[in-house]
Amino acid sequence: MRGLVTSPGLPLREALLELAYSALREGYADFVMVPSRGPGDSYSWILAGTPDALTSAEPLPPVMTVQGARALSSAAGEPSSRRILAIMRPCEARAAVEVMKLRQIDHANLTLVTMDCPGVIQLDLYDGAAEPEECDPANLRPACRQCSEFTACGDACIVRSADSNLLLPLTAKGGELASSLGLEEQGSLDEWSKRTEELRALRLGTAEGARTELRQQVAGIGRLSDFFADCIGCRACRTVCPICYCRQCFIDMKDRRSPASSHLDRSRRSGAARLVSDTLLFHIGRMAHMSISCVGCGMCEDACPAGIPVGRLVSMVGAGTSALFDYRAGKDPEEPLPLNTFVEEELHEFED
Amino acid sequence: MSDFEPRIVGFLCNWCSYAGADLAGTSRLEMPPNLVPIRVMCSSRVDPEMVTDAFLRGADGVLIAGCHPGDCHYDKGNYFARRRFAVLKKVMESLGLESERLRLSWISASEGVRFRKVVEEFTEKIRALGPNPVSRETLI
Amino acid sequence: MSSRTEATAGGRYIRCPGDHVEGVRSILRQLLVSGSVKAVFSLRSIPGNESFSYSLISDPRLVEEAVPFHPLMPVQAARALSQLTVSRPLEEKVAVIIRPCELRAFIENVKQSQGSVENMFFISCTCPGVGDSGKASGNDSGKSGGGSGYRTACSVCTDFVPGDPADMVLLLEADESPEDTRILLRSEAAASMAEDLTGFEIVQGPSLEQLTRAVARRRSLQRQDFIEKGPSAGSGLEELVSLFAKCIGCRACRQACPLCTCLLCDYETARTIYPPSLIGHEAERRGALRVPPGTLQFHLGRLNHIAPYCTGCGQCSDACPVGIPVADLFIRAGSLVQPALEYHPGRNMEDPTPLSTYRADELEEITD
Ligand code: SF4
Ligand code: SF4
Ligand code: SF4
Ligand code: SF4
Ligand code: SF4
Ligand code: SF4
Ligand code: FES
Repeated sequence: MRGLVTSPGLPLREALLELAYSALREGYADFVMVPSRGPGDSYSWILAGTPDALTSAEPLPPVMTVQGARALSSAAGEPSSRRILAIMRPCEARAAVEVMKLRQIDHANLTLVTMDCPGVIQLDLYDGAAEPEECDPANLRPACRQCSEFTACGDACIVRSADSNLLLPLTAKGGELASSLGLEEQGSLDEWSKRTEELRALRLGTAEGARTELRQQVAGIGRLSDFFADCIGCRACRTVCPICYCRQCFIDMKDRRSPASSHLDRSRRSGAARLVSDTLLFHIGRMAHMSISCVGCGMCEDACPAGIPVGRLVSMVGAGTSALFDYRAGKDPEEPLPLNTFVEEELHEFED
Repeated sequence: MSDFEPRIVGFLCNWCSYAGADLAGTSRLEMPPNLVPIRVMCSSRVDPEMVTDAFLRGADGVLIAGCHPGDCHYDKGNYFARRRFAVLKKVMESLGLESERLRLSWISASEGVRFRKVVEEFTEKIRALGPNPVSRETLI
Repeated sequence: MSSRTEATAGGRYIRCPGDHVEGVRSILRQLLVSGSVKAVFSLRSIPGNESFSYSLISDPRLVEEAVPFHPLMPVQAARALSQLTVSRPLEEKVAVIIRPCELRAFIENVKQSQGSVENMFFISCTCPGVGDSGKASGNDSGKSGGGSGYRTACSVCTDFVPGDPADMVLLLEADESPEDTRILLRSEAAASMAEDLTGFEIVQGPSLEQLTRAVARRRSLQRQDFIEKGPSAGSGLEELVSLFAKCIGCRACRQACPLCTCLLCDYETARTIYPPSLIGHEAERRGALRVPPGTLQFHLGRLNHIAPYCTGCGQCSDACPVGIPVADLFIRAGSLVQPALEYHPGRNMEDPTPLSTYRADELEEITD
């Protein structure tokens, strides 16, 4: 891997901003998609067409309000001649890769630039006061605390190594970006590699521990049902998830409606039955559909008004399903989605 | 803004108002060029999405025009259109959005002159209101 | 009996000593045991965890888990009842414990063919309100309810006495809080059911309106105040934009709303979603554009669709994970829209829904 020196002497945030400005100025892109600060300390994604429009851009906001891949699938959902450079978090870029495979994002004129991600704080702990750079690591979302893919995703990534900013071109497109910006001087990635490996090992450990615990917590339908006991059925988890792109979800199909008598029967069998009744069906069905592509971004969990750790559950289930196929969501745009491909001789252990 | 030329979207019912507009045209009545007509089959075809969409895309005014009460080609479409329009107006009012930028008028096929009058009046009213601030807003 | 005659003539109540939870449970148990109803729909505290959810209870022994009129609304009951009856009505009797705004919403559902009241026996209450339940309720930055314990929606609700569709009405919110359990028998069905109940005496009493006059006056003042000067009172585009700047587009408000019953919302369709080419165009024209766009289109659209029917339950605010006081806007819009259409959502089954009817000589002031 090469690391090309960029924006010397600037903090990471400024380096990312400078990249945004130069991409527009040098005509590398027609638009930059980047988070931007709005009224009341809110953050939204904007598609900026001119350097002027970047005045409130904030490439490292303290919170994730909308998953970048979701924003991108609206802006780049079909082939277009407009070139977009998106500055997003690693998990957002990984989700974007999954969404490309699901053909909801057209990659042809798109460049994804990520960074060494410091993580974001939990949406409901964000008081609006925190300046982006001073968000309290204690408030980092659980998803971020167990994230091991926090850098080097997308077409290019800007990382910090021994106090300099280095741009890593990760794909051919990343290489083009580097040359169009005239980056040539190589810097040493040693400090970055070492730090990254250490943090990755630590996070993998955290993730494994958390997953083991969670696996026990939800083992069995009764416990799973308890896990979702407070679920209000608002489907926010699905709506904000970049992978769940369907406009009409399976759970909202008319043929899923059941007559009143079937609910009464259910009640008679166990003395009492919950209404609404489709909570588990929804969550299990959703995980069956998309957990394999879950990038563990934690957006769903952040959005859940009932405070259910739903993202950790999906990503735990996803870790299991993707291990079956030795698949890593969002890593490699060329690798086909496991459920869109097959190998003649595989999975015999599931046959009886 | 002296050089402000309002852009007004007009949803015109095919049977009356569009025909009225046509008559105004064939009678060579002079008219402000600010109205972009969109032909719909009945004023009741215009659902609130179409109006809010035009408004949020920056139309300075939106006109819905249909047959006079009692004359709707589909019998009572315009009565329903009026109720829906009332909802939209009140919703806009409750948010403090400029509901004056929306107008509902009845114009028959023979009222070329009235068509011109409505367009003139509305254009002047919008001119006085100035450009729709939504058209500059980025956080829609 | 219409509420008007009741207002002067008073009504018949069943009464028992003790608090309403035991009183109502006793009724439910007796109804189940006698077979007058086959199941009970009520909030229930799920044993083993601290959650509350609506349940259909058919075993009389489980009635002790029912927590009738517990001040929480995890799901708007109308949503649950609509799920229960949307494809086919109940064939057996069910007693339904329901708050006034939930009942009104369900009546609206039924009028829009999203459910059926057939075989439902409604037990409602004069309603003191419910508290916030969302996780964001801890901080009251913009979140409804701040302080009082009840949702803002509840403190400005003047519709806390249920309308005609209620068969029985528990006196809960009243000028002087009752020391015993008193339940008004409003329908014939209620009167005949009451005859078979043991442990209750039947008494004549003043009307619910008479018993709640002071509350009604207080609420109506609060409502007026809220509509005129409450937070986020219609102050224009800029205010609206900043209110929704932190909207994360999760649509929980829509999903929680009992009146948004569409399986596929207009705002998920190609009719309203900007295609990328249009997004590019608008971004060029404005210099920049929020992506995904459509926040205002969605909320404005939902206001248009729902304001004529909104029952002011506050569920949308409660569901919003970022504490946007969505219901405030709906209540305020409803307070203008509903009088203009002369419609009172959910008060009865008879009034036609306002957008499916009209008068030839109305609303002339809005046409030019
Ligand atoms: S399921 Fe949750 S954690 Fe996984 S990709 Fe979707 S939003 Fe992210
Ligand atoms: S759960 Fe399945 S059907 Fe529903 S949105 Fe997600 S992928 Fe689509
Ligand atoms: S966001 Fe939370 S409450 Fe809403 S459906 Fe998902 S898990 Fe349930
Ligand atoms: S809009 Fe909000 S307050 Fe009105 S009925 Fe729906 S959930 Fe209740
Ligand atoms: S906003 Fe309108 S279209 Fe969408 S669910 Fe509600 S009523 Fe239906
Ligand atoms: S619940 Fe809140 S954040 Fe979600 S769409 Fe509604 S207003 Fe926006
Ligand atoms: S056809 Fe003209 S208003 Fe209906």
